[in-house]
Amino acid sequence: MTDRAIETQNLAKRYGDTTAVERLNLAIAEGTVYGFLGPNGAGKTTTMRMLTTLTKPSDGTGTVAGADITNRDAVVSNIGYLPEEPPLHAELTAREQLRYVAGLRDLPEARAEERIDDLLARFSLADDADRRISAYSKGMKQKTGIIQAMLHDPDVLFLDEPTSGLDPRAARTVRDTIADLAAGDATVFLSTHILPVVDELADTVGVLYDGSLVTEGSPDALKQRAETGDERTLEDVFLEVTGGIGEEA
Amino acid sequence: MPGFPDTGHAASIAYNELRVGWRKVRDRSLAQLLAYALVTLMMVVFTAAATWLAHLGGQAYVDDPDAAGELVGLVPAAVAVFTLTMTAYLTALQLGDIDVRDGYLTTVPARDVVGGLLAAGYLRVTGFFAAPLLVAGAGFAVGAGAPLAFLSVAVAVLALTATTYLVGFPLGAAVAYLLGQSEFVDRYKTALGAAAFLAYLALLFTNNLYEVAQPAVEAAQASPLAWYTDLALLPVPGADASALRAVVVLAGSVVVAVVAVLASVRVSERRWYDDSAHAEVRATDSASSGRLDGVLGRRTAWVARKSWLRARRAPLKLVYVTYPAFVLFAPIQGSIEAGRVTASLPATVTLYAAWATGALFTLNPLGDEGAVLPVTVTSGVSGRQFVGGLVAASTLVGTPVALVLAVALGVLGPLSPVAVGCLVVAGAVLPALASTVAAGVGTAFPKYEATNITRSREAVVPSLWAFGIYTIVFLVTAGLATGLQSPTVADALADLLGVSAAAVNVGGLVVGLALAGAAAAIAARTAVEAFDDYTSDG
Repeated sequence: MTDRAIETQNLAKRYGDTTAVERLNLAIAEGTVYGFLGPNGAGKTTTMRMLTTLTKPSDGTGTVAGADITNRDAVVSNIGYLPEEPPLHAELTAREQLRYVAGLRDLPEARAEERIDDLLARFSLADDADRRISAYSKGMKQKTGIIQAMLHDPDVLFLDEPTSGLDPRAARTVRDTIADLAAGDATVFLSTHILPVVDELADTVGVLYDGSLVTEGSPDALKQRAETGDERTLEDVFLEVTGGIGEEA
Repeated sequence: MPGFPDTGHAASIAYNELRVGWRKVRDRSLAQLLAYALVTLMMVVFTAAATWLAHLGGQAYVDDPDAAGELVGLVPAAVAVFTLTMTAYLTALQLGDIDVRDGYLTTVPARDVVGGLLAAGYLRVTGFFAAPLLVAGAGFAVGAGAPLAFLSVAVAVLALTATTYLVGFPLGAAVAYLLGQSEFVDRYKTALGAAAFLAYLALLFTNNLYEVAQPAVEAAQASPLAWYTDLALLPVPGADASALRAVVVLAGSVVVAVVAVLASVRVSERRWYDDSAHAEVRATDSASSGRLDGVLGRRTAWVARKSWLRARRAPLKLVYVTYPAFVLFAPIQGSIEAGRVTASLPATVTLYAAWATGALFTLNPLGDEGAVLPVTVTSGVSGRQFVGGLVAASTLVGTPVALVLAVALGVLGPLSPVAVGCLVVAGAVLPALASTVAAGVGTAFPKYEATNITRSREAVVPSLWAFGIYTIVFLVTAGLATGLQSPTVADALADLLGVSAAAVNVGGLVVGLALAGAAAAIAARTAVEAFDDYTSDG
């Protein structure tokens, strides 16, 4: 594995005449949390789909955990992915779903059981683990999806709005878990609209606007850069770079 | 083997697909479970019949191999064509894709997912006919007095169905991929789907389905597919079966299967990872206000316009309206064969048109609102306006159609002028009454849960209770108004009652409309009250 967990050069995606992502250059270090921000329709999900090999780039190159994003088999074995809608079979129980995915990930049975029990307890799902997912609330499904994505200790974890639908306690658990993962070797690529989460967790923040990366840096640096004498928050920075560029100019 | 699915992963995915599929079936309503039970019963009957015929075939084959040989030789060709066609069709429609695709494709290589789909799909597709064929093979072996033939027939059946299934899968996936790449198909998919369905019905009505399949079956018969017969008949005494051809066809099956699996992986990867075409469809704002406001009142008109707009944007959710169209098969087929409009066609078509009008927008007024229902009931619109809007939406669409059909078929058919007049009146009045009756039944038996109408699309459709009760009520009331216009029925009843056929025509119309009108009056009140008194408590 290289010291860059995710690296892209001029990555682009076009659908016919529409450009979803344009000349995206990322260099995300191992063991960090990258906060990926942007308004709705900015191209965040398309970027994640390219990095997880779910869609082919129209242009440019990229690597994830040292594997070329065109080499699907190599990328898939090193990543975990939680899309906006957790990919779960509603007809299974959470334990069945997790055992199933652990089997597909070739986790040894004993280790899988231990890991599943540990994560279910951590996310307060142990008591409901043998109920059908179809009976779960949105937050419980989200928690199951997060456990599923991190079950195999991936090198790089892609999380699309992981705290969506979670109550404050569960959201806290997710934030603590992300921090723990990054404290190890894992890299977390975190897409969210909840700016305090990014402010708290991210080592680096990138803001995508209209398919292009309009600013990037540590939360503190971004807040400083935007500083004009007033007290600035990440929200101020976000609003400025995604809507106020023309006004500022 | 490079590019081949991991068998452990594929088996796990196949098992999970079948497990999830079984639980989906188990979770369905009692009525749907009964439908499955009926299909199972039919399969048992079919298997028993096939086994008996195979037993007779076995006896006949031993008695006179030349005479029965042609029939026996037809079986693998027909099975191959059927398996390949069904597999390709079902793969394009459903089998070639998987739920939670993003989850799978970021967990295991796509080829493992394809392997799982192939294994699960084979059991699903061929379960319907490979199992009966295996049982029938036992019947053949007993009939032919060659117990070992059971084994050889089983090997032949499994090899043939597996090979043709594996060839059909990538073909279906390729068709789905190519259709997904076409902007034209994306733009006109609803019209194209309807055209394909009508073409299929036309083939069915005109008894031409076999004519279309015949060249394919004949080609299969003339190909090495016929050698599966050698494999099946190898242990049968007196059979002119070639051991060489049997071995070659078995080895060929393995080679074709390997190539087909690799092709399935390749095509599925293209299908899942390539961007599909999206036609730029401009959604014209057809929900703007207009003359309807003046006629119906603003709120009622908006309810009607909303129903039309939703139906136009998602026509598939109305597909249930076509289910009872099978009642038209016999009269249409009879008319086509006779080359003229037969006596029963005008009344049946008019009745169906009126029934369909009622089923269009009013058979699940509350459930069809979906997540918007709380907003609708608190928007200030009254039950009378809401139900009126839905009835208007159905009636304004259905009445012209029912009327035109009643006039055209009535005039072209062998109906008396009085019967034609009565039928036209029925065609003009019944659609509105049907819509009102449906609204009452639909609010009494609502359904709020979405149902899968295709693999990727869910919609809230009327409950089976609403569907059934509306149909019964409509048939016993409106059925009189149309059914007694049929010359055969009218003449028989006229003889029985000692009155003229014209009196029966008019009497049937009056009584039918009166009964349907009474039902509609009760239904309208029920529907309006159900809307006005709606609470989420049920």
